[in-house]
Amino acid sequence: MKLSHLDLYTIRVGRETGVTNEHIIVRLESTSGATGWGEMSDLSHLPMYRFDVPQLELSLREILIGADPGQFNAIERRLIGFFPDEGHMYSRSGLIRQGIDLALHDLVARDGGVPVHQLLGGAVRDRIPVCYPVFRLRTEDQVGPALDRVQTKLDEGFSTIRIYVGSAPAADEMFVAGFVERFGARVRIKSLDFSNLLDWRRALAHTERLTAMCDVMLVESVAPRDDIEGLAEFRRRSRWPVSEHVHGARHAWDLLRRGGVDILNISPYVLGGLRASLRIAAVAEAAGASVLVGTTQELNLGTAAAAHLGAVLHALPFPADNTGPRLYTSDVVTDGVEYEHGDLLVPTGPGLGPVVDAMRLKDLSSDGRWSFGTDLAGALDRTVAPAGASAASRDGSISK
Amino acid sequence: MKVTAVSLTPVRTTRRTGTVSVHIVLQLKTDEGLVGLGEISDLDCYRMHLPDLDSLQVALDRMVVGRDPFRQAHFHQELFGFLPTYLRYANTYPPFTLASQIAAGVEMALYDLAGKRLGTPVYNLLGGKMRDELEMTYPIFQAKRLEDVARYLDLIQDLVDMGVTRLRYYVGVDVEADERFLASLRDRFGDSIHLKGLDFQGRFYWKDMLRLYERLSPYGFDLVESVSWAEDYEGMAEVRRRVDVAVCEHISSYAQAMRMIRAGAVDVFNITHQSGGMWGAARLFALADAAGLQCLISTTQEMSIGTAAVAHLGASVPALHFAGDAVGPLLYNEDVTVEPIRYEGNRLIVPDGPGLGIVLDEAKMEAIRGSLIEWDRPAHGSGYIAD
Repeated sequence: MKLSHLDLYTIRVGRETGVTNEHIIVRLESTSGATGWGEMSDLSHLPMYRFDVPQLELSLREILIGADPGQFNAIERRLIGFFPDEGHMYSRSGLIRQGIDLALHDLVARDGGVPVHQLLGGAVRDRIPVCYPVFRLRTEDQVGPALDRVQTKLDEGFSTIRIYVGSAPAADEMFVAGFVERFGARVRIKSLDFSNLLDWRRALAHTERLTAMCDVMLVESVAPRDDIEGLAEFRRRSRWPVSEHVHGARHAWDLLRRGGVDILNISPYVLGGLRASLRIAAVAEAAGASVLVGTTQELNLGTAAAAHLGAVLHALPFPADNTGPRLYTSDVVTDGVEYEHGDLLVPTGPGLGPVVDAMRLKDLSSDGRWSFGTDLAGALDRTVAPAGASAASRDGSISK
Repeated sequence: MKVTAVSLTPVRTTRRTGTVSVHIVLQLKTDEGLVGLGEISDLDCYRMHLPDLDSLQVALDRMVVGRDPFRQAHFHQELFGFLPTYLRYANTYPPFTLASQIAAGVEMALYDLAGKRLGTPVYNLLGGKMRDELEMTYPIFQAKRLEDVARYLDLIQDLVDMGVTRLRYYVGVDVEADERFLASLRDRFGDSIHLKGLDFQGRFYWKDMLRLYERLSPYGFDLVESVSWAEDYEGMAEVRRRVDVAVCEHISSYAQAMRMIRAGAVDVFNITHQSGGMWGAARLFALADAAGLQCLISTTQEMSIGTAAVAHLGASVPALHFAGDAVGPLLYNEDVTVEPIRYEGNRLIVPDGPGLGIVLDEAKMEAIRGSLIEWDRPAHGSGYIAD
């Protein structure tokens, strides 16, 4: 079996928060007629220099057509040569490799009539606890609506949240106080996520203030990006486990060796797909560290892939972040992933599980041109920035 | 003075070797009638994910129109909000990203405007001139087979005839061909060729690199570059302890520079304005200075506009310990300026005109206007069809 066709479809999908995000759906077809679908998720993180999609399609065809889709390792090695790790999150290379990696796994698994997790060693669980995000508060006015949203999500069955903090400390404290009063033991907080906004001292002080009111399972990104010493200082002093996003194998090794983290946040969109993520999980396992599965807010294909990844990890002690399909108002698939009591169910159908619907793909397609409006800050922050948005939110921070 | 419009022109140049490079020429129009020139250079490095020109136009319209060309730091500070990683986080190679090149291209045009407005060369906006000319080095890409050797020697004869006698050489694709080339080079040209360095291209485990280094060291060179895997700072440090020449590495970002410094990985920072403009690169030079390291000024191989930015930056930094690498105008058969930036032998002459000191020739630019997209043509940066 050889790959005979590769097509990329640029689509535009709205979120319940009102913003619109672009994704590329990958379709692979083999000489035997088998097809596989993948996803380069949420390219809107890269609004300033989005790549030329027809050119990307041409290049990928050149690289992949004729390859045996089952040769995952050889194909991945070749792709890494063309799309190397870039040393940070939101790299184009990771997204591109994820799209291909997912489609290859979908194709081969569908062709064999098995779910993707069977290509990854087999599932050890059939569901993955997930948490719902509470996006970063910039003003105290936003506290009330954010608390109401927790109620809405609780009604939908999501009883674990993660909170993005660090931009407006007073608003964070108001939120946590209100949260404890309204939800008490009914909703758990997975994490306080500082998104690398604060140095470790300020992050630690803020963590202490907030966790005086409530328990959390862990804290994330509690020092500036790339400040592994800062993470280590925080980790020595805090009673909460520390997690950080990993952007490559070398980075994982450095984080662990230098005592920066207790938990590696592994996200296929950063690392370049399932196989790259499994390698990081192995590094964590060898080091006696934990992992959690992170997100950039994928659509159904990407979320299904995260579920297959989570399904095969030996230990998965913390909730995952993959609730994209509930955040977006539409999708290109018919059989989307399912959530039950706040768990993401591991798809059992062949391949990744979700089935792409040609009509939906067509309806959501965009011309691949600029579509982010005039508010660049809003495009980057995934929100429509309110008037008087804090400087911190514009200073390189990306809240999901 | 305010920027009123951004014009982008994609152009294609051929190299002496026959490969094609694509660039984007920027013109920033202003309310005072001055036009600032910039260049987003040699985009073939990103052949796999070239930018969409229409989207880039929209983004730059939003980011640059209305800007005061004198507010360089403010420009970068705002740009970090939209391109959060450039200059701050990037891996070793290439030592720049599409984001950082966009930043560099726009910044260059802003400096050009500021200089033109004041009637002074850009180096006077960067602290003033330390030197009138910069020593440069011509790159020779690796011999891939023994038959390449004779052809390369002929190319070098052409360079010698032009007065270019300093080379750097990329090794590691075919070690036999490398050794044959270096031996032939010394046989034919003796010590009249100054071999600045060997670039190992991050292809080797450090112990393997050391064996190759020992084998090639009789041919005489001053430094070795990219001596271990891209992120293997400890491996670079091991090499550094064991070799007799300087160890040099591309510096892409603050994060990577700090890793290099902490690991004791290198003697020499190889710094380019492509990592974050002249403003950003000046900070990397300062970091090297603070860490007691040496420096050289590098390139992605720009046309004359981008090379002028190299010249102004290089003119103004306190120390350049080794010859630099910016010889784009010698590599390319075409350019977009009335006069190309000037070289004398191995030296790049710092322009003294206002701004970048470079004058655009619109007819030349139009003559090489071309799409960024064309997969099938040979391109040096693709690692795919490259010669």
